[in-house]
Amino acid sequence: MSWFSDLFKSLTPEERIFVWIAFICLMGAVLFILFLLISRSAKNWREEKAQRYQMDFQESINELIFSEDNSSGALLEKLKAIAGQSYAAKQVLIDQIMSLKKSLSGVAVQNLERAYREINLHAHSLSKLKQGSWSVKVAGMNELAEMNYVDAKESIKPFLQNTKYVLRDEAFMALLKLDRDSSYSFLDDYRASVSYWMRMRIHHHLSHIDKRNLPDFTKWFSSSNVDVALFSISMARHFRQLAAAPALVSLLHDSDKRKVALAVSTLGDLEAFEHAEELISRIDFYWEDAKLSRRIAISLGKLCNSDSQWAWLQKYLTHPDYAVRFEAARAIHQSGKQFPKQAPDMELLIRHVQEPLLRAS
Amino acid sequence: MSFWEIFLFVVNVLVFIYAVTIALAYFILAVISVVEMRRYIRRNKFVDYKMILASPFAPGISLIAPAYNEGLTIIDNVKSLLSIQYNNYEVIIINDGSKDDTIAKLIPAFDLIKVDYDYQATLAAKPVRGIYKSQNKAFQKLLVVDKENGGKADALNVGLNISKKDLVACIDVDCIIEPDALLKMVKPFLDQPNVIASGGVVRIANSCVVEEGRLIEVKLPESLLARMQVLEYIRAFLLGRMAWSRLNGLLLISGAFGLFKREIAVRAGGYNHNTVGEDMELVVRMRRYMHERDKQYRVAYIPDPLCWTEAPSNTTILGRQRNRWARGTFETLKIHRKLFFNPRYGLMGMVSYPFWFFFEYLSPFIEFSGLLFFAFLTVMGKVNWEFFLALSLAVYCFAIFMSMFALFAEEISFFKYTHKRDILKMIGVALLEPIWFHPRVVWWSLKGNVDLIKGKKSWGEMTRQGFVQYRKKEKQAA
Repeated sequence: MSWFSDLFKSLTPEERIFVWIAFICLMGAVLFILFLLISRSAKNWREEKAQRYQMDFQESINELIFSEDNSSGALLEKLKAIAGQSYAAKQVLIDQIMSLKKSLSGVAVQNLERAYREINLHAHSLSKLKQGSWSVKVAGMNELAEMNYVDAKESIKPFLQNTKYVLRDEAFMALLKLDRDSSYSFLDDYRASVSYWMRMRIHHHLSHIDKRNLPDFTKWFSSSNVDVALFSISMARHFRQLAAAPALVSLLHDSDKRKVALAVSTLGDLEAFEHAEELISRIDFYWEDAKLSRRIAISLGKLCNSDSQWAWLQKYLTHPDYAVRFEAARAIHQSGKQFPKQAPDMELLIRHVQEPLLRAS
Repeated sequence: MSFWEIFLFVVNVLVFIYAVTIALAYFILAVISVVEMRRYIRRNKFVDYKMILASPFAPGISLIAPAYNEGLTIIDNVKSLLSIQYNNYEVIIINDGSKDDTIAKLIPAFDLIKVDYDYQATLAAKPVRGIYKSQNKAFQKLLVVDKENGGKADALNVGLNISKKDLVACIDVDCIIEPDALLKMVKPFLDQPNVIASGGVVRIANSCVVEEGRLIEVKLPESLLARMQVLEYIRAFLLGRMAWSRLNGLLLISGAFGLFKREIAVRAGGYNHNTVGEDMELVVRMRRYMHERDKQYRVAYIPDPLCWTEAPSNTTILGRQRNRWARGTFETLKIHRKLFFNPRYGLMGMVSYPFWFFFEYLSPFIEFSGLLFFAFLTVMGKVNWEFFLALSLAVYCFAIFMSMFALFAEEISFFKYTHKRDILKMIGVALLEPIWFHPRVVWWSLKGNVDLIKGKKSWGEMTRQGFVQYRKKEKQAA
C-alpha cells in the first residue's frame, strides 16, 4: 500500500479533499448495499419467528374462543407462558387476538377481551403510552380501544390536548370507542380541530352502534370550537336527527358561513318542510354568495311544497352563477314542476337536466 | 499571476462551489425524504382506507383522461379506470381529435350515445364536437367527450370544464392506476382542509405482468435502458419530491397522475396551452394563485407507488421525452420568472424556484460546458490529470452513493422489487448509470433547449408497446 500512500501524499490539498469525498461516498454506498442484503434476511427471519409464535398461539386461542369461564384457566396460563417469553411474542399475541376479534361477535369476543386482560396484555399496551415514540403510543391506544379496555380512559385523556395531531386524533377515537355511557362528554372541552378524516372515522364508528345510544348532537351546535360544531351538525345530518331542525334554523343567521352552509344542507336532507319559509327568508341575504345560494337551491328543491315557495326557487334560474341556475333547474325538473317561460339561453340547460342519462352527474 | 492562471482559478472555484452546493442540496433532500417517508408509513399504519369507500364524507372525484390516438388500448384502459376502488367518482375521457379509431371503438364498446349536455367553456379550449354517456348502467360513471385536437393541456381544460366534482384527478389514460390509488390520494385532502393538490409516485411498469389493465406482478425491466429509468424514477420520486412536500415547496406533480382541487385549478386559469410542461406549470400557478391571495395552502405528496407507466425502451423515444421535459421546465421557469428569489413568495420564491433553476435547468449546461472546458484544456495541454481524476472519482462515487441511498429508501418503505437478484441488478445499474445513461440525458436536455430556441412546440411522437397488448400477446402465444 506504500504506492497508494506515496500517491496520496503527492496530491494537492484540493485533490485530497476529492479523494476523501470519493472514499466516504463509496463507504456509504457499501454500507447501504450491506443493509439491503442484511435487511432481506432480517425480514425473513422476523416473519418466520412471528409465524412460529402464531402457530404456538393458534390452537389455544381456538379453544379459548368457545370455552366456558371455568375451563379457560389452563389455556390462559399456557398463552401467558408463551407470551411471556419476549416482547415480540406478546405483540404477536395481541395482533392475533385483535385480528380474530374483527371477524367474531358475542361470547367469542368477550372471551378474547377477557384473555387480553387476564394474560396482562393490557399492561403491555398501557406501557406503550409511556414510550417516547408517537407511533408506539398510537399503537398502544389502538390496542386498548380495540380490546375495549375501559380502565384506560384516564390514561388516554391527556393525549386529547397533545400538540401532535396524530396522537390527538387517535386519543379522540379511542375515547369514543371506550365511552360506554355514550355521553361523549369529552367533546365539551375539546379544543383541537376535527378533520374530515376524523369525521369519517367517527361516522364509521357511530354507524356500527345502536342508534338509540347516539347523543343529541344539537348540544354542541353552539360549541366555541367551530370544528366541534361543524362535526355535530354533520352527524345530526347523517344520523337524521329530526329534532335538530329548530337549532339548525337559528344557525341560518350565524356569522360563520361554514355553519350556515352545513345547516342549509342539513335542513334539506332532514326534509324539514316546516322550515322552508325560514330558508326562503335568507335567499336575498345570501344572493351574492354563489356557494350558499347553490346549497339553498338544492335544499329548497327538497323542501318546497307550495306554489309561492316554488316561485322563490324559480328566482334562482336568473342567478348570475351558472352552478346555482343549474341546481335550481334540476330541482324544478325533479319535482315535476313546469319551467317558467324561458329566455332562449335556458333551453340547453333545461334539456340537460331533463336528460335521463345525465341525472347522476 | 497571469490572466490564464486567474481565469483557471476562478473557474475552478465556481465549479467547486456549484458541485458542493448541488451535492449537499441533494443529500439534505434525501435525508428529509427518508425521515418523512418513515413518518408517513408509521402514521398510516393503522389507516383503514376502505372506510372511505362507504363514507358519505368522501369528496367527489372526476378522473380526467385525455386520449389521443389510443385506439389500440383504449377499451382496456377505460375498463381499468372504471374498476378503481372509490365510490363517488366519474371517469371523463377526452378524445382529443384522434386520427385513429379511438372514438369509433369507444362508442360500441360502452354503448355510448350523444347527449344534450349544457357545456360551459369556463376555461378556453378547442370546440367540443359531442358529449357521450353510456346507456348501460354498468358504465354510468363514464362520460366521453369528443373534441377538436388541441393538445393535452387543451383536453384537460375541457375535462375541468365538464367536471362537477370537488376534486379532479388528471391522469394519462395509458397508465396503470393501482386500485386503491384514489383512496390514498384523497387522504391528504381529508386530513388538512388547505391541501390544494396531491401527487403520487410514478413507477416503471416495463416487463411487469399486466392483466386487464391491472398490475399483477412487479418485475424489474429486462431492457437496460428501462432499468436505468427505474433507478432514476426511484431517486427522483422517493428522494426528492417527498422532501419538497415536507418543506411545502413542491413545484411538480407528475402529469401521469395528480389530484387537484377543481375550484382552485379553474380559478388559477387551468392548464396552459403554451407549454409542453403543463403539469408543472399548473402546480406553480395554483401555488401563486394561493400565495398572491395570502391563503394558507399545501401541496401534498404520497410516497406509495400508485401509478405505473411504460418507460421509453429505445433511445429515440426517450430522447424525445427528455427533450420535451427540458423545454417544459424552461417554459415554466420563464413564465413564472417573477418568483426568482422573490421573498414575497416565501420558500417557493427563495428556495424551490432557484433550486429548479440552478440544479435542474442549468445543470445540463454546466455539465456540458465542463466537458467542453476539459476538451479545451486537453488540446492546450493544460490538463492537471491528478485533479481531473480526483474530481471525476468524487463525482462518480457521489452518484453511486445517491443511487444506493434511493435503493435503501425503497427497501425500507415499499419494497416492490422483492427478488434478491433484483438488488444485485440494480447495484450494477447504479455503477453504470453515471457513465452510460446520464451523459445522454444531459445531451437530450441540451437538445431540448436548442429546439426551444428554434421554436419547437410539439410533444413529439411517443410510441408505446402497451402493457395490455403485451399480456394478450403472451396469452395468445400460450
